[in-house]
Amino acid sequence: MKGTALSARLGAIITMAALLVTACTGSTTAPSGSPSAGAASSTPKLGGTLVFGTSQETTHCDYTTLVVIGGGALLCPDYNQEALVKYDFKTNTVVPSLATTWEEKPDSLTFHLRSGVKFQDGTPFNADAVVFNFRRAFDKTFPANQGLTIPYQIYVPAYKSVTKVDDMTVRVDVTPAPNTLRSFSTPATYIESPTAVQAGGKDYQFNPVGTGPYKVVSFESNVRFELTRYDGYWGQKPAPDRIVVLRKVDLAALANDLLSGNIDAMVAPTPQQVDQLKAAGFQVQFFPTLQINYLALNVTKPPFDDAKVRQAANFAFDKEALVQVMKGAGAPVYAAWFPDAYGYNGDVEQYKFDANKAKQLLDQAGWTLPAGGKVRMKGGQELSVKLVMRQGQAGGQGAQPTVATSNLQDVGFKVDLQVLDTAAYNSTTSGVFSPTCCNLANAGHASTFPDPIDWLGRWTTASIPPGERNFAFWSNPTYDKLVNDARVELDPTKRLQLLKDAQKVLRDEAPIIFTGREQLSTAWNSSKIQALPLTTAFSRVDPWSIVMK
Amino acid sequence: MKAGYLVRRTAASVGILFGVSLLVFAAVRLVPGDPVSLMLGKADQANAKLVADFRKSYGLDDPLPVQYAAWLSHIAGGDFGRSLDTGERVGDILGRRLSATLVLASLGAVLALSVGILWGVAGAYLSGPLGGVLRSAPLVLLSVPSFAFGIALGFVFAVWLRLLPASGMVSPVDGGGPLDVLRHSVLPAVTLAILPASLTARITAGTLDELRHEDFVRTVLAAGIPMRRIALRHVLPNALLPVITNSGVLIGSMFTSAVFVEAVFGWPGVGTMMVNAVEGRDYPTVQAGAFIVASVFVIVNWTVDALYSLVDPRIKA
Repeated sequence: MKGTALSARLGAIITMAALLVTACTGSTTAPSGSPSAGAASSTPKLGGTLVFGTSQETTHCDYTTLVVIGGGALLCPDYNQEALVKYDFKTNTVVPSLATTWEEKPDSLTFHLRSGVKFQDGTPFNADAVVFNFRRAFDKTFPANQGLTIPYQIYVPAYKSVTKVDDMTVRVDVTPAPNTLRSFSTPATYIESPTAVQAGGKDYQFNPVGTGPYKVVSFESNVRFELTRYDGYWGQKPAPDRIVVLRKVDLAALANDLLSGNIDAMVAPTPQQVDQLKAAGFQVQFFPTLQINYLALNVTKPPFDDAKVRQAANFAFDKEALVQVMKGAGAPVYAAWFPDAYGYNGDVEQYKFDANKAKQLLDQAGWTLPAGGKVRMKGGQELSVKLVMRQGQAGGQGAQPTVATSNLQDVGFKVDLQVLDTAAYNSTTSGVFSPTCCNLANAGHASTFPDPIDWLGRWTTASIPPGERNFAFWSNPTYDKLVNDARVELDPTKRLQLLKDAQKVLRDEAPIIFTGREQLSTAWNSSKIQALPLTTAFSRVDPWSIVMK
Repeated sequence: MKAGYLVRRTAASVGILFGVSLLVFAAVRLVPGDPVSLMLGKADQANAKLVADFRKSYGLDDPLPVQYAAWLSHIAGGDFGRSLDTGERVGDILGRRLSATLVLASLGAVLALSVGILWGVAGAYLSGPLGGVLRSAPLVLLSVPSFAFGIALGFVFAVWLRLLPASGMVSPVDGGGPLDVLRHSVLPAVTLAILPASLTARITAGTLDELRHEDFVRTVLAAGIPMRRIALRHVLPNALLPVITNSGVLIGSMFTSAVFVEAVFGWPGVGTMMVNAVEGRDYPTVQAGAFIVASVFVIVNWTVDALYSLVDPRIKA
């Protein structure tokens, strides 16, 4: 025992000494170049190699197989393949991509395809290719669909079938629903070379062929992949000629790589690394995301089977304190959606930090503080809750369990905070997918589009695990009806009202503590790179947004 | 030849491997959380239909004995299956990862044994403060975990002095030549070698110390043979017996220490593969990895036993 303690201490001392050494010498090893970020120069420079480091998984390069949807900043398929249309998050409109024009009817979409486009293997892009890809993604009877599990289908809920009209026109039949056009910008609809898909078999996912601006040179799962410019690309060329993505689990190793010049940029350094990198002259910038972090309150068992206790927990959580812990990264969220976004209901009362109100509500619910005690009691039971988080949860999502523990203890809860590894956390028998797991589940979710529907859909009865991720196991028929009606309501005014009414129910029933909007950062060597922003949706590096020096 | 001894050892090795395969198969399934819910959880989806499809396509629905038998028969045919996480052939991943670890472990082993033996001999025969330092240094070094050395070395030589790369096995751009790999392996190999070198030094010095006072040493000394010759011809070969025994365990432990060292230096070897695979409940990869590492242990130990039987006249058929 003594030996372990000693060795641990020695290790800590050595590490600290090393950190000190780095901190002291950081300024002398700073890369040259002025720290000017964001502002893109008037004429974008083409050329150069970008070496990018990430700690998130890079499993394969084909969206039709299972990959991480939310994670990963520089995702291979986005550089290799394209959809028929693109969603422009600056203007919130759908813009052309592989389709140049389209006609929208309630029950069908007709796409006119871009002519002269060739896949990276030289085969032509045409209606046959679109039909092949859509059937591969959505049609269970299609040979190329066999053996695939395609989670991204869920983002194209209205799809029914596809028909070739002529060589450069396809018609997609859909069930009438709002916003169907934009769903044809999502990953399940990416178009890939039918020839390459059929020839590649099970290894195609490491060797994909799309129409996008980059070809895949090599792909080693979770270690490294390399992209090179596709000279035959039909559209505007992104800046780098070559992109290498290194994946390392350890963020400290990535920060070292950046400091030592082994890589040019990384995503999501820790707050400590942000300070260290800035001190050494590297550029670090934060970008807003569409991710809301939350704690789901398990309503199937005491104490959160009582709405008053859930409301109390909501008032007890100090969202400003969380932002402080995160050194200003992130923004508080007081209700079920972003205050500045479409569909937000500003009329419902928000859960702002109010410990006294929380205490009153707990008193009303019958949980009272015994004289001289710190933990509330009711009928001889302690107000004791188990909070579960996942190892590796980072950013505000990673920091909030500590804040919640301290806040809940302040108003009379006893909190048992447990950190599980990913598999145990996701277990359907003992993790957050099971009602027996815990009282609070720590999680976060990024919305696909700046529209509350995906997000509100999370808390419907149909989303209760194992079907989906309603970790509160909360079920409310009124709420279900509002959300389901909003999914198919074509009249924008009526739809908006449904979305707002749903938020009111969510607020009153309080099955979730909404904590904050995540912000993510990229850090880069400013002597090589001028700008490396993340997109608001999914927090990705858009190929065309990279500005090299 | 001591054929009987070797046959017995070989039979025992096969038995051990069989037991290992059973243990590994059971162990990965006892850990809470199964690969399908994990993957679907990561994919931000948990659609009941998808889960069922996925289980079926990977044979996870079959009874465990059937799965075990299927796995064994596939291994016998050299097929380790496909990774549940990435869909790659496990055999391909193993080939890549194992060669990376072998490069690291063999460099580490060569360093550890050569430096350790020299150090032990010097520690035993040098007098004065230098000998003292050489004799006591292993104790101090043994009490520091290898990853701490790794982090410290990384900061000093990579981040601060920028003499060597901080992590990885090849340069991110246009890397992969022998010199490039060697440059990348210096820090991890040294880190990996520090503990076993200290251990070897301690054992060598300790045994030499004991042997120096043995009767046969006194006898040859009385015969007028010079000290240096006695040390090299008579004492050292005897001192090497425990070193050889330990080197088996030591080389095997290279693989386990490599887990930490590979993590610190982002070395794409079996260690990091196993850590990721366990976290991902990637059954085929964990099973194959554990089985292969166990096989390496068994083979190395078998070799050591064989060597031992050659060196030690007391072992008979």
